[in-house]
Formats: sequence, structure tokens, C-alpha cells
Amino acid sequence: MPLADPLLYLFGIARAGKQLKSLEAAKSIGPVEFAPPRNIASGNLQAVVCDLHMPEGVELDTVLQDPSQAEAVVLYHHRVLEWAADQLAILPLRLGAVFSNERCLQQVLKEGHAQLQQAIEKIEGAAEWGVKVYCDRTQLRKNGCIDSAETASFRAKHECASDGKKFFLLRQLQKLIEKDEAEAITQCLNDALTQITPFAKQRITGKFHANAPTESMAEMVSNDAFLIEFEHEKGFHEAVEKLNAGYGSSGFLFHVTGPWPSYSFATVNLIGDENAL
Amino acid sequence: MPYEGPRHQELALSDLLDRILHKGIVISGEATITLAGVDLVYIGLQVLITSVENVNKTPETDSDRMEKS
Repeated sequence: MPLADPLLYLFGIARAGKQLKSLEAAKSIGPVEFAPPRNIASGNLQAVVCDLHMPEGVELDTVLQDPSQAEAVVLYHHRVLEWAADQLAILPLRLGAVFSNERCLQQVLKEGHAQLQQAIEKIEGAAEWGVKVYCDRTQLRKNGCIDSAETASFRAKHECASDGKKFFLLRQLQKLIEKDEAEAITQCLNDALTQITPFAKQRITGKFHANAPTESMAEMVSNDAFLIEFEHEKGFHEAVEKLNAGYGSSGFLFHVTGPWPSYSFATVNLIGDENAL
Repeated sequence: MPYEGPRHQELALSDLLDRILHKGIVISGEATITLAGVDLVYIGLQVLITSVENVNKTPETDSDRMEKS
């Protein structure tokens, strides 16, 4: 099948000047071929891109309808950004930025130059680390969650009550216990922030997932991304270790992921010029 | 110098999708993305996200918020 004119796939944007080492040969995903990544300079910026070859009549959307191919594109996008982030400070693009030609890309880089420079300055010399906090409520009730005065008093009242009355009091007692648990979780998370944020330039709160590390640690109670300067990474990891040591027996687990390309801190929204074509 | 301690390389797809699809630089404007179906790319990816999230039974918090420490 004949190939259409190649499109330009944009992975990320960095300062110009540093030449990236070569990554690998072209990557084929289904009928689509990603040529080896290369850079395009624009003033004092450079874009990390690759040519995207598709057979005529094939649309990227069709390729991405296949979950395994879509997953391969996601992983490749990330792989290229990891490779680039190991060498320089790069602002990752959200997945799927495709240009018809270099002129359109240059236009976007030119229009967004000031914003991009500012965003690069923010992430330079730093990496993104994720910290997910899980809670095992059974363990928390057992070792970590101490009854408040109100709960203790209500518990005593419940224990002394007749069987019939106990049934009605139990629900109220459970609500009080849940309130105590919520307070214990808040206290733990506040303490964690106090310990970690001195090492972080910035923090972003993310979505919760259910990819629990163990069956008992099924509940995620926090999912933050921290931008950590290289010189503070050791301190950051020590702080997390300390939190695990301190709160582990109370049913909390602090799980670190990373380092990531600075996805969460590349918060630039560039508007394309409609006349660029 | 980047951290030389252990790197946490195990990659949860949900973590990656959260970052790769909802974070990073966004380019909007029809002319910059000339492939007519680019919006459809996102739709295609949404299919993937939905299936992954269903597998993971992922509840979402309120929209992301950013805090400067």
C-alpha cells in the first residue's frame, strides 16, 4: 500500500543546544511507523519529534481503536520521553500531538516561546516523583485509630446496652469509628506533607486508582506528584522511608513511583494559529 | 546530579495513562493539528482509558488541583 506524506509527531520540547543520543531504529505499531526520534530547533528551543508514516487511507484513529496498538503507542510515547528526560529537561506533550509539516510546528513553538521557556525553567534540574498512599482500615482500626472521647463514651454505652438497643446503637457507633478513621487518615496525610514538601518545588494532587500493591492495601487515600530537585531527591526518599517506618504499623503504605518525565508539571496550553496552514 | 538510589521502574498503566492523557503540554487549535481525525485520536484513546479504568475499577477524585508548596 502506498504511503501518505509523513506527519510529524511531537513528543516534547526542550532547550536547544544539547544533541540527543540516538534512540533506536523506527518503531512499527500496526500499519503505522514511527521514524527514529529527531530534534527540530526553533530559536533557543528544540522539539523532539519523529516522522509518522501511515499507508494512504489509514487513519491514526483506526489504529488506536485496537487496544493493544493503542497501548503500544502510549508506551512508545513514554519511552521516548524517558529517554529524552535522561539527557535534558523536557516538557512532555500530551499524547497525540500530530502536525502536517514542520512549518506548523515552528509556528506553535514561535507563538508559545515565552510560556515554554518559563515552563522549562521550572522543571530544569528536577524530576517528577509520584507518592501514592494506601490505607488498610482493618490494620488502622487495630493499631492506629484511637477512639475519640465521644467514641469511647459511646462504645461503653453500647457495651452496657440491652441486646435490642445494641442493634440500634451499633450503627451510630460505626459512624463515630469511621469519623475517627477519617481523622486519623487526614492526620497521617498532613504529617506526610509536612515531611515531604520541604524537598519539593511543587506538588500536584492526582486521581485515585485501584492498582493496589497488596490485597489488604486496597484503598488509595492520596496520590500526589512532586517536583523534586535532584539535590533533594535523597532527602525526599528518606522522608518517605521514615513515613513508612512510622505509619506502617498503623496500616499506611507510602508507595513511590518514578522518576517520571515531568508530565504533571508541564502545564502549558498552547493555542495554534489557524492561519498556520 | 539526579538521584542515584533505587529507581521505581514498575509501571502501572493507570499511572502512565493518567499522566500521558491528562497532563503535559496541550496544543489546541484546528490548524496546528492538521490531521482531520486528531480529535478522533482522543476518542480512540478514550476507549482505551475507559477499558483500563473499568478493569481497575478506578474511582476519580474531584478534578485535579495544583498546589504550590
